[in-house]
Amino acid sequence: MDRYKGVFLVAGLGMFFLAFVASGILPIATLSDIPYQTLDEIAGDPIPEWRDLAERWPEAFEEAFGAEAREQALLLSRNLEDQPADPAAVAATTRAYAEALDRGRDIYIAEGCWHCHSQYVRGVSQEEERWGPVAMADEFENELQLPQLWGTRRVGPDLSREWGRHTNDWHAAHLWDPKATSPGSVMPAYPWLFEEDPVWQPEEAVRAAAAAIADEKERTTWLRRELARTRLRPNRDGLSLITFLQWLGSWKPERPWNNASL
Amino acid sequence: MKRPESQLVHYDLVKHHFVFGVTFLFVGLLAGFLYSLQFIHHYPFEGIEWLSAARVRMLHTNAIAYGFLVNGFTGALYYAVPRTTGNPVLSRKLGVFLGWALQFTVLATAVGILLGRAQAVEWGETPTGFEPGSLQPNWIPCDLLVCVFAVGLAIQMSAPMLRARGKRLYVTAWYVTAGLIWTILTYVMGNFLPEWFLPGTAGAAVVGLYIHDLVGLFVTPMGWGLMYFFVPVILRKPIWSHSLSIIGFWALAFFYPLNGVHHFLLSPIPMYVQYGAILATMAVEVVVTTVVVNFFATLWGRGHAVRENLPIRWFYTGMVLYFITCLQCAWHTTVHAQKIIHFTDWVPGHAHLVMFGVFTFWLIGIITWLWPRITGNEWYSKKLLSHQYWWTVVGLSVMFVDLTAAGLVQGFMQRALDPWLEIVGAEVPFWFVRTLSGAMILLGYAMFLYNLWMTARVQRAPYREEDHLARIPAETPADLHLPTTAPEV
Repeated sequence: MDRYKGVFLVAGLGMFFLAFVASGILPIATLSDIPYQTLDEIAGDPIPEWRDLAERWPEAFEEAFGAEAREQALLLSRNLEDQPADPAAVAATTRAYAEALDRGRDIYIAEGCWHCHSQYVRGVSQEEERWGPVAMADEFENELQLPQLWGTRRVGPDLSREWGRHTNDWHAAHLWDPKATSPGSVMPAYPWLFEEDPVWQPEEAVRAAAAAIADEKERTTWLRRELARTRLRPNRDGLSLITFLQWLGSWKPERPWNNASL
Repeated sequence: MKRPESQLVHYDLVKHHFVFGVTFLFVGLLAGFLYSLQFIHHYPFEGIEWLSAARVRMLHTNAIAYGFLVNGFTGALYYAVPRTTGNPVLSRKLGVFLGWALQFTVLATAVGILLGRAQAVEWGETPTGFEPGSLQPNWIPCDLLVCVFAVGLAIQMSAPMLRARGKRLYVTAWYVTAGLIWTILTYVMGNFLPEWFLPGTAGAAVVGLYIHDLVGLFVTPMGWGLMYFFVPVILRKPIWSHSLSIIGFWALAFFYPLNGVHHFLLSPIPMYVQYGAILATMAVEVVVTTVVVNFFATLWGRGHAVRENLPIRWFYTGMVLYFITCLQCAWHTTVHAQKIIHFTDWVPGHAHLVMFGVFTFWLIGIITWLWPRITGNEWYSKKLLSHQYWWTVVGLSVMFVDLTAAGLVQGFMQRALDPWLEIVGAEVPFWFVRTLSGAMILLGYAMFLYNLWMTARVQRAPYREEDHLARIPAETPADLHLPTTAPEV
């Protein structure tokens, strides 16, 4: 056998392609009838949190995406129950929204978020209870899934059902200092997603309120949260990342899938 | 006609790759250690953008994969391939060029990752150099450079194989030839298809294939190919069974590539693909058993070498760990085990056992054997080599047991719907032990670096080949006194 060296070349190529057909081509064929969504199609229906970002951090939003995008975003519905916004207004803010999603995803990848946060819910181990509906193939056929960000490890929570779970405020505070919102978290802080590095000088009222808290641990947490609430201003990257995080799971009609155990 | 070794092997190329390989391994280990500090709330560079813990994690895996493993294997191939085929590699100049191209690629990858240009595929974080989804450059195209290197190396190594016309090729040559072809295909598949053409679920199947193929079709064939060369050489006897080595090779070629999707079990990937991957993963265990049996049968009659000869000790420790890893694979890939262990620290425990405990051990063994040969000096301190072995092995064992236990705790707490932060809190003690085990490994490795450095600088005794080969016991039956070393089959 080993006199025919060509056979190894065939083995190398043949076996590889056999596997590629079995675990590449076959799934592609099976899933081929799922329609593919481009970024513009996804961005055609901005989430209410996009409007909230424009409201909450007006200057930062304007700096990042322009005054016009902000004005248009403010015309969107406040929440899902409201009447749908004027289609023209939606179209005007869509481009900025698409840009934010795209950029937010880049940040998500660059910062390695996907190493510790998964993005798919399995139908076992009570995951439906904790995270929400089980992941289906049609959720991932779009331009923001090149490549998908499923991840293989969950140090932190799954993020594929993140929409509506937390407010924009919460996300800002959490990215600035994860321990402020989630005591004991091992997530790194991302201060470079914020406008400046505020060296926080607590005001008198805040000092007095803090002093009233007896437990030291609780006091530290409270102070951190206060800092995050009053002084933080996400920059363009921060706003984009928050937009992307809020978008995750927004394609599912059920909402919210909050529960106490998280 | 047999050429003298000096005309056959380019020792400067071997040395070049080993020097950079051990340097990048140090960077990789250090990065891993630093990253582990994040989990016990003591990361020293918190708040510095380019040293963010998550970026350092990618530095850890990529420095090991591209900096150490690729350099280490390339260096070892520059020795083993000419020896096993009896022909020199294509060109020394090409070797020098490829060597520096690789070092440049590794550095560009590391800097690119720290600057935030990584891609979102495990082991494929290597920056493409373009803004996602467009052709607007944003960094050095490291992906393409890796491809250039892989193709160049395949050309470099195929020359001696093709020149060996008319002679029978030893199993090492099969593994290397097939492995180099697989590497190119795998790399192109994983670094371009899911990022540019295959979104979502189908892309995930290909990513799984890529993650697994890089281990199964690059690292594994190179590792075993080199073992088939170095073990018989050092033990001074041929491999026990050539038939088994053939079975091992073809079965690896057939089953390994089909495993990929087991990285995304219970995901939206069609279940028939997942079940196929699970069955193929179980089948790999059969393959592994044939290979491991072959090597332990080869050791028959030379068991003392494990005690007396450090490279052999590294090799066989690695093989035991390899067997454990694969035994683990065969059952933890079932959907039932996946319910608990997927997404937990069990998996990093498994990954460290195979990437560090097997392939890094083998390369350290190979470097331990070749370094005195390259420098012409006997080891500066053999005692230190032995200390290094124990620190490393004990460190890794602690890490493996610790992460495995941590994985079980996490898995069951997740299923029990415990509050998330409670699960994180329960893990911190395990992560603390993990950091300690990492410190042990780092300490062992520092001994190695010091020893390498001093050996190159100080000649305590000149190198003698005889001292580095296994002793043939006087009482060995005559039929075991086989005069040749296997690679000259």
